[in-house]
This record gives sequence, C-alpha cells and structure tokens, in this order.
Amino acid sequence: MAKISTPAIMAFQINQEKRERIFKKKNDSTDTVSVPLWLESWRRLIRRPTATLGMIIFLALVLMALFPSLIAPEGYDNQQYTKLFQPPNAQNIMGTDNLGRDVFSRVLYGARYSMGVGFFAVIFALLIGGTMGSIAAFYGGRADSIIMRFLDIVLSIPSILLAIAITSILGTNIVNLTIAISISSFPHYARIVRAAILSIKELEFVEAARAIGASDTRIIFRHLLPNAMAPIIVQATVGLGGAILSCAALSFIGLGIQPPLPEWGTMLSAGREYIREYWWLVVFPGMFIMLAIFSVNLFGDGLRDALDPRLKQ
Amino acid sequence: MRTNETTKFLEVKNLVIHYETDNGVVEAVNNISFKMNRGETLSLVGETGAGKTTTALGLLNLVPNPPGRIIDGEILLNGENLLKMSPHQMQKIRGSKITMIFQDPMTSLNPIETVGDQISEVIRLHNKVSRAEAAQLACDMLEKVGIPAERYGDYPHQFSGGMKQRVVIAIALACDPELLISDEPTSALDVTIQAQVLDTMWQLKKELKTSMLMITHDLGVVAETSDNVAVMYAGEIVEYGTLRQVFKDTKHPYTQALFDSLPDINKNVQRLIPIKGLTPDPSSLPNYCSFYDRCKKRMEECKKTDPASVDVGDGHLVKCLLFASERSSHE
Repeated sequence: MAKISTPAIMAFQINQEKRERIFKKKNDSTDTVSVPLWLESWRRLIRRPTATLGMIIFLALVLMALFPSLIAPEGYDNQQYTKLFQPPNAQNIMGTDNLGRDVFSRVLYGARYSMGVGFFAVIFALLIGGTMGSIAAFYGGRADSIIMRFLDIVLSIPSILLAIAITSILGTNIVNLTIAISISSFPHYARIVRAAILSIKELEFVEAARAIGASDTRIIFRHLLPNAMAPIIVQATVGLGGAILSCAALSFIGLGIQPPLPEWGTMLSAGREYIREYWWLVVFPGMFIMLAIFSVNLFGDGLRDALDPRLKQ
Repeated sequence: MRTNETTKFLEVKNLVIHYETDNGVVEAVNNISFKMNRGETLSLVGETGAGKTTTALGLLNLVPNPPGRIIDGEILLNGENLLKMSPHQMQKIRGSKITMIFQDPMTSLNPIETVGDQISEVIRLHNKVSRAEAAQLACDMLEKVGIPAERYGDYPHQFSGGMKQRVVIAIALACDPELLISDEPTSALDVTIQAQVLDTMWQLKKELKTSMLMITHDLGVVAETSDNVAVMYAGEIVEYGTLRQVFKDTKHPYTQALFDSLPDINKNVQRLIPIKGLTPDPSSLPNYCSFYDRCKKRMEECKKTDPASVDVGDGHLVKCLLFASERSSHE
C-alpha cells in the first residue's frame, strides 16, 4: 500500500517527531504506552482508602463464601451436646449454639448462602432488567411505554411483600428465593439501564455506527451497553447489598433458607429465642450481615467515582 | 474529462423529506433531484437549516423516524432504488457502498473502544475476514490517513480533533465505498487542521476513485474540492451546475448574495454585504418562491408562482423566474 505524503502530512509527521523528542527529553522515564481504561479506573479505585477497605472486606467475605471448609474449625452441622451455649472462647471464637454447633463455622458457611443468593439474584435481575431497559430505551415509542408501565406496576408493590408472595407461591428453597429477590428488584435495573442508554443513544457515534451498517443488536451490545456500564456496575454493587439483606430478611421470617443450613438470617431467627442469655447467637451473624452490606456499599461508592472519567485527576 | 469510465451511478429524483412534529410539519427537503457520476464530487452548499444534512441522511435511509419521514422520491444507486430496499439490504449498503463522515469527530467515535477496533469493526461487518486480517487492514488504513499504526490500541480521547477526524475518515473508507457523504467534515476543526484533513480526504478519494457528496457552508472548501455544486435554500436546490458555471457564471440571486457576503482579498471594502432577513420557517413555507422575502431582484410575478428549475445552458439549472422567461417557450 502506497503511503501518501502530501506536504501537509509530512509537516504534520515532522511536527509529531519533534513533539515526541521534546517530550522524551523532558521526562525520559515517562511511560508513553497508553494506559487501558480499566487500569486507569483501577488506579483511581485503590487511591481511595474507604473504597479499598470495602473491597478488601468484600473480597475476604467472597473467599469465605467460596472456601469455608478451609477456614472453619468444624462443620456447620456438627452437634456437640457436651458444650451447649458456650460463650466465645479460644476454641469456639464465636461460641456455640443451642445444639453445640460452632457459631464461627456456621457464619463462615453462611456466607456461601447469603452472598451466593445475593449475587445470583443481582445477576438474574440485571439480565431481565437490562434487556427490558435497553429495548425500551433503544426502540422508544410504544415498546418504551408498554415496558415502562409494566415496570411501574411492579415497582408499586412493596418489594419485600412481592418477594414474600413469590416464595410462598413457589415454595421455599434456594432457587425460588433467588428468583423472588431478583423479580422484586429488576425494575430498578431496567430504569438505570434505560436512563443510561437514552442519554447515550443520541450521541453521534451511534448514528455513525448505523452509517457503517451495524445492526440494532450490534449497536446495543457493542456500542450502547459498554458505554452504559458505569452506572450499571454501581447499581449492581449497591443492589447486591440490598439483595443480601432481602435474603436474610426472608430467611428470618422463615421463607428463605431452612435450618439446618446456616444462612445468616436463618441463624438470627434461630437465635432470637435465646437473645437474653446468649447474645453471641445473634450478634455475630448480624454483624456479618452488616459487614457484608457495609463493604459492598463502600466498594460500590468507590467504583462509581473510579468509573466516572470526569473525576479524573 | 473522464468520460470513458463515467456512468451515472447515483440519481436522486424528487426527494421529499418531512419532519412531522407536534407543532406542525417541517418541510426539510422539498422535491430535490440531482445526479452524480462515478468518481465525481458534488457539493451541497447552503445555510444552516437548508436541509443539507437531512438530504444526506435520506441517502442512507437514516432520517430519524419518528419524526422524520421520506414522503416521496427515488434514490437510485446503480439503478437500484434504495428507498425500496429492506432494512437488512440497506444495512449491507451502509458502510460498504455508501458511507458517511459526521461533523463532529469528538462525538462520532465510540469513547470506550480503541480506534483500531472501530476500524476493524466495519471491515469485519462487510468482509469475511479473520480478526487478525481485519486488524492488519485497519493498520494499513490508519497509515493511509497519516496515523502511525502503533496507535491502533489507543482510545479516542488520546487523539486530537484532527487525528480523530482522520480516524473517522479511515473508518468511512475502510471498505472502499462507492459514495462518501461528508457532512461538514471540517467545521469542527481549526483552519490549519482543516487543510490537512481535506488534503488527506482528497488524496484518498482520488486513490480509491470514490465519489463524494460534500456538505458544507464553506464556499472556499467547495471551490477547492468539487466538480459540481448544488446550492440549497429552504429544502430546495436553487442552483445546480459545474463548479465553473456556479462560481463564474452565477445566476440565482441567492447564490449571488452568498458570494457578495464573502470577504474578497482583492477588494478594499469597509463592510460585507449580508443577506437581509432570515431563512423562512420550514414549517410554514410560502407557496411562492421561498427566497422572495430576501431577494434583491424580486418582481411582482415572483409572488404568484413557485418557479420551476430551468436549464440555462449545459446542464446549469436555476430555479428563478428571472430565467424562466427566457426559456418559457421551451418549458
């Protein structure tokens, strides 16, 4: 392929070489290789202490949820009738419960259920909500009205009531609990995605993508959704906290995960009777619910700032 | 000039495009017709709101709908009517046969994708090539527009405005289209960069033998780049002819007024002569000549009819009653 060299371009190239030379002289160690977008966001994220703290706690909880058997001293259903209601001590750092089970081990195993349900509920809600939101925003008009009115109806039902209704209809098990939580929260995702896409689809590069012959699906998935990712990720992390809380709440009232599985809400519910004498039965699971939501919210806040290029320093 | 390889390949006949809004119908493009030969450059000149961009979007069948609607007309590319094509067929035409460069390079690139990926996207959309081959072609394309291929992996925000517009040009020309529509490709750039970008476009256009529809309000750019010129006013082509006919043998009072309002380096004048008044509201166009209210040479008869386009010689079309009388017998 022949290289074109008009005077203008040649001048341009010479200028560029000059610029680069000057630049290099000034600061030899400067990395002129471009920094990928995600790396830039990562750097912004870890520069914030609160966000980093949230992320570390969150990652620790995730590790707990993934490999509880590596850390837990006992199984979650090891009953030892010789040591019921032991207060926290060196052997059982969070004490034991009414059946002599180690609370610390149960809390560790509980992370798997609480966080797992929360995580899949968010993914599921994001898939339904994201699809509906992007269709509504992209096609507009009648599709938009129908989808959004439907979402308004879902939103007008208190979400915890909706989740209760769904679990009582479907029956109580982990899958149904996940479905119930995601159905009661997906309209929020749909709204966020719709709003994000509405603002992006008017930009010229979308029209430019049409002008080069890109199809609607391609425009949505390759050009619109990736650009709408920042608000979606933030809503997802904040929503994860909410989902963990809903999971615990539903389990607490007996519609979620059933004993002996050690979900945090279930543990709270089981320890409720003994709260006057044996505080550690409710304090530790409750603390972990709080810790999980707190860390997720810190992390989500940090992510929002890190993903917003306008805050670039 | 290039008569042997010249064939009529784009023909627009009686194109009418309206925007139907709640506040009435905006008549953006009214009954325009023009022809283009292969390899030729046609400039659409006119004020803001004259319907230039709408015409261009009409060619790609991309008029935003709603509110826009192509009411009538035919757009023939190599004899095929683009307006009769299915959306899927049209998708294949866009990018490979007809493509468009937009006005503002700042917003016409996807901010979170590397420029190289954006060029190879269009290549992969229209050709059956592997990812690696597409990347190679994209690198070649970058080099062609004067950007080092090493910058394949850079994001748009790492480029200056002029460089971005080069990337946009690379995307537009990557599939060797037959027709390139450029919608004021240089108005968002400063003057020195304008010259460089126009130069690149011009070189590539010659190399690839692409036809070009140039939309601009810069008569200097027109003079440098075009073979033919169409002057638009209120959604109509008021004067059409070769560059020479329109620039040297200006007929229509509107075109005349446009030239009068330009500064001339050889004349010492205190003030430029502006065109009085504003372009008519396109949602309530008069049923007589739409330039009547601002025209210096208006006559009584002008208010009675909407003049038809007349050929004043060698394909030089003028839509004005002043010249209709000469040829009234011919009509």
